[in-house]
Parts: sequence; structure tokens; C-alpha cells
Amino acid sequence: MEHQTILGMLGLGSKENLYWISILLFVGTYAMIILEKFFHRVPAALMGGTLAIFLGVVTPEAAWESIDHNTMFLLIGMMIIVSVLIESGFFSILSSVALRITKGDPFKIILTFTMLTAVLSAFLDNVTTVLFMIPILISITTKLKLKPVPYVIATVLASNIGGTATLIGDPPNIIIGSLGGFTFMDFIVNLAPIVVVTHIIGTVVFIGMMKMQGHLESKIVDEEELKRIVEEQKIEYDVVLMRKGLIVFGVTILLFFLHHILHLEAGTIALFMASILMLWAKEDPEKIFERVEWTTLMFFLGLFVVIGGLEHSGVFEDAAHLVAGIITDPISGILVLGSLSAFISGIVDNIPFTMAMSYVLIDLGKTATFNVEPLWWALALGACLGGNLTIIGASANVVAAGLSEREGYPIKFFDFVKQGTPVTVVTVIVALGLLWLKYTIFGV
Amino acid sequence: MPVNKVIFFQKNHVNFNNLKVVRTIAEKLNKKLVLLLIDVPDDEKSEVSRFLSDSNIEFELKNQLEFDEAKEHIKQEKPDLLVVTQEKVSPLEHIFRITSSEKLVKSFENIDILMLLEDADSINKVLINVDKETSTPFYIKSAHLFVKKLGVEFDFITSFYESFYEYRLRKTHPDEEAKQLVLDLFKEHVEIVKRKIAEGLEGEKVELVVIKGDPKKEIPYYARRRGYDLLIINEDIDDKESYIENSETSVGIFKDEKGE
Repeated sequence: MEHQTILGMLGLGSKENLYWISILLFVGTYAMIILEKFFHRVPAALMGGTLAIFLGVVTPEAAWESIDHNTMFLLIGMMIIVSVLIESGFFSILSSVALRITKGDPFKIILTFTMLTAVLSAFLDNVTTVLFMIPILISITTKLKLKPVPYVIATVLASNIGGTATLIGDPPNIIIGSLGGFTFMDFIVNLAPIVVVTHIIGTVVFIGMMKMQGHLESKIVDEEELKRIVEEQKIEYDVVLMRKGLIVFGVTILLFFLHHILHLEAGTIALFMASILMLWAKEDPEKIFERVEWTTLMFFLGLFVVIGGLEHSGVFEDAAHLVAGIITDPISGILVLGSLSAFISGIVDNIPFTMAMSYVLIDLGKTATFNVEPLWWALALGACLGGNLTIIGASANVVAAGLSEREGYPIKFFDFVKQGTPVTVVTVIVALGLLWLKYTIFGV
Repeated sequence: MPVNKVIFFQKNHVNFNNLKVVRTIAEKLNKKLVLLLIDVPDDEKSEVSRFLSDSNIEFELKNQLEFDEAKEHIKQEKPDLLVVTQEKVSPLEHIFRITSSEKLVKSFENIDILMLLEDADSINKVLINVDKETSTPFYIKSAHLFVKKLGVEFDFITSFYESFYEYRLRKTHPDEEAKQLVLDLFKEHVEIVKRKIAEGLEGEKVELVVIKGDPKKEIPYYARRRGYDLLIINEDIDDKESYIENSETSVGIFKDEKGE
């Protein structure tokens, strides 16, 4: 049975019309998200998504299918596990240890946190890492009377850079590994060394900017007061709950490593383990669910449908084929595809984009006369590092913004751009330059 | 608390800080002290004998026991008070390690137990937790008698888990109504605890500290922050392990019924 749509009834249901309407909806939704002074990003994304269904750009079934269930399950599952760990006081203890190690020095704090975040992000999903780190960071910075937002942004940037290093570090890499047929070790060999250098340079850039903006100046000058803050912290904890939470978290990570062997998606593992934890911990589910970022999840839901509209009407396909027409050899392709991926990933969510581009690369591999492997790595670097361009460029950015807002420190779109854009430009240039150099020196 | 025998259990080494406390307890309660020693060097045993000979208490050293044998011995002896040494571990370390005294304590029932922190050399200030649901008048009386005989400063405490009720009631009632219901529940909680104390102490007036929050976290935290040397909880309390592992003070676990 043909799907009846409002546009169809008005005689505007042609494929071409739907194509342009999907673009209009996408642009309109993103404009509303950017104009955050007038609209909250969650209803804006939901409005875009539901309008796409309402107008018939996508059917309700197609809208449902366009939601990346793996991402949603992963987010919900990890948010539940992290919520239990927060309840157990684990983060209060970590925060206390971090504060003691850094002795409240803003420079040491940002260095410790960004390095730790980058390493964790390489082996954990970026969203999980951010869910772990941001509450600690906000707690520490507020105690030291520092503005938490720049610290939160710097940590998210480090998370997106670190996540680029491995197959499991960032959702685009999971897609590339799966569709391109690359192993965990392929990522370690091809991307990890580049990411290490990129992270060091990225750190220099964002720490330099924070220093220039005066965010690394200690606000507590009295040494006695600083000592008191560092040592006298209220730490309530529940060791038994913490133990259960960390066991489940550890097993979850182990299963993430084995997800290819088990033929299970990371999202399924996360949600399954979260259910086990809730049953085992016997904590009040109402209380646990209170900490789940439902607004962030709703934002993703709306955004997936809007982007699904573009996918459904063939906009992504056209864009990808256009890129394929420009790429004539793998070496120049690294720079073209990498920088384009970075730019597009910065303004749209990198998951659907990576998916569309992966299918183009598969097609290209069948017909091209050259080895397309360098292009896969360029796509990975561009899509992951490009996520640092704007607040909506990567899932971790959106989650961090949600957490920060909940604590009373909202991150404005342009605040993020101010810190994110220079770091993105530098890291993308460095990373693609290194990849280009590698293939130029050693050959394809 | 009618203590007839105090057993002090030590493995590998004798903690002389704790021995000082145990000697004081045995002296104040005028009871026999039995030391169960496993793999303790002879020179330490001699030192223990010398240390205890200086006091007026009756004592006995039982050594060369195997661990399981010692456990059986404790069960057969049915002491009214068992004292063990609790290692001091950081909360992060505690996540990955259950101490030997915690494992040991789990295997006993119906015995009053003191888990003394390894650096505890005196007990001057004691916090007695009264749980609305599980604490019995027998437990309250027993804990009270213990601290009175020791002649130390003590407080009774209870914690009302306010946010637990708030979450639920705010879902089903308007805000104002929910607040009132929580307040009523709070009053009821305090009243029940006071009644239990009055019953246990047969009318003797004592001060009750009332705090709010998850008891298994707030009570150990309160004890730590206010410098109490010992936190006493009842044996049948829910989440007993959490109280023990969340404490950075010595913990006493007292039975709820007289038992055999």
C-alpha cells in the first residue's frame, strides 16, 4: 500500500520535492539549534524530526529505522552504569584523588584530565568517557572557583582526539571497521601513532588558548584555603555498590573488546549489562533513571530522523558521489576526503555521514584502479577529529553539554566553536598531513 | 551487656594498639580475656603476657591454632564479645579487596563483634546507630550498657532517608502535599526510634542525633567527620556490609536478640 502524505495530497509529493524539503528541514533544524537564544536544541531537533514524518519526507517506519539503535542503546546503557557509579560515590573519590595529585593547580588539572580522557577514550566509547570525566571535572573546578565550561570543552576535545586511535574509540571507527573490514590492530598500526602526535599538538593549542583567555589562573591565592579545599572534601561513598558498579563496568568493557567475536553490538552489550547491574545493585531504578540524560537522548532521536530524511531522499548519496568524482588518486584523496569529512562531521552528526561515505568507498574500491585503503583512514581521521568543530559535531559533545547544563553551566554554541574550531583545524591538518606523509614516503 | 568472656583474635602478629583497647574493655567489664593467636612469633606472645600481667584481668593465651580451628573454637566458646583488627584501607583499595577481618566477621552470627581499626588504641567517643526497621530494644540496651560500663562519651543516631521518599511521593502527589507527607514520615521515623530507645533503656533519657540521607553512607560519614572512635550497628541491619566497608572508624556489630 502506498504511503499517503500531506505533501502528496497537496500534489507536492514528487521525489524532487521531497529531496529539497529534506534539505530545507535539515537547514531549518540546524539553524534553530544554532539560534539557541531563541530555541532549545531538544525541541528544535524533535520538531525537525517529527515534521519530516508529518510532511511525509520519511514514513514513520523509515524514521524509526533511521534512528541508530546501537548508539541509543549504548548511551542509555552506559548512562545507567555511570549513574550507579555516581550514586556509589566513585566519582567523589576520584575527584578527591585528582585534586590531591594536582594540588588544585589549574594547569596540572587540565593536563591530567585531558591526558586521562584521551587515553580512556581510546579504549572506551567517547560518550562513556565524557560521562565519567565531566562530573569530576565540574566538581573540582567549582570547588576551586574556576569557570568549568572551558575545562569541560577541553576535555571533550581530548576525548574526540583520543577516540580516533582505536576501532572501539569512536562510533565512526566502529562503522569503518565493520564496513571496511579492518581489525583492531589495523587501527592501532595506522591511526594510533598519528593520534598520539595529534593529541600532543592539540593539547598545546587548547592549553595555549586557555592560558591566553586567563582560564588557567588560580582563583584561590590563599595557600591555606587551597590546602583546606584539597584536603577537606565531603566524600560519602558506598564501597559495596562501587564494587558492583565497577565489576559490571569492567565486564562491559571486556565484552566491548570481544563484540566482533560475540556478534553483538556495543549498544546491546551496554544495555544488557546495565540491566544486570540494576538487578544486582538493588538500587531504586527511579533514582538511577533520574541521572540518565533523557533530553540528550531525545535530541539524538530528533536529529537521527532529520538526517534520516536526507539519507532517505538520497542527498547523502549525491554528496558522496560528488566527492568520489573529485578523488582521482589516493594521495590527494587523503586531503580532499579527510578535510571534507572533517568539515561535514563538524556540522552534522558523524555517524550517518560516515555510514554514507563508507558505502561510497566500498563502491569506489570495486571500480577504482588504485588502493582505496588510505581513503578509509582519511575518513576515520576526518570524521572523528571533525567532531570537535561544533557542539553538535559528535555525540560526546552533546552529552557533555547536557551534563554541564544540568550542573548549571550551559555551554553556548559559539563558546564551543571558539575553542573547538582552532583545535579542529590544527589537529585535522596535522593528522591528515602525517597520513599523507606516511603514504608519500612508504607508498600506498 | 553481660560479657563473660572476651575473645581477641589475632593472626600473624599482635596489634598492641588494639590489645590496649581490649585490655581496657576486659578491665572495665571485669571479664576474662582469651587471646586466640595464629602464627604469632614467640617473642610477641611473651610481650603480650607481660603486657597483660601488669593488669588485674584474668587472661588466657591459646596459640598454635589453625585458622579454621580458631573459627570453630570461637563458635564453640560463644563469647559475648569478639574483637578483631580491621586493616585500614583506602576506599579505592577497598573496592578491590575485602579485608580478612571482614571475611571472618561474615562467618559469625549471634556474637557481638568489635572490628578495631589497626591504629585504634583507645575508645573515647561512641556512636550507636538505631535503625527504624531492624534495631531491637535488646540491641539498644546491650549497646548502651557496653558504653556505660566503658565510661565513654556516646550518642545515639538515626538517619531518615528523605530523598528516597521524596522521589516516590513527588511522582504521585502535588509538591506541597508530597512535602507534607515526607515531613509526616520524618516525624514518624523519629518517634519510632525514640520509642525503641525508651523501651531499650527503660525510660532513661538520652540524646538522639537525627540526620538525613542514605543511612549506610551518611552514618559512617557522620562518625568519621565528628571524630567518633567507634560506630555500633545492629547485626540484622540491612546493607550491613556497606556500613562496615564505608566506615573509616572502628565498627561494632551487636546482636539484636539474646540468642543461645
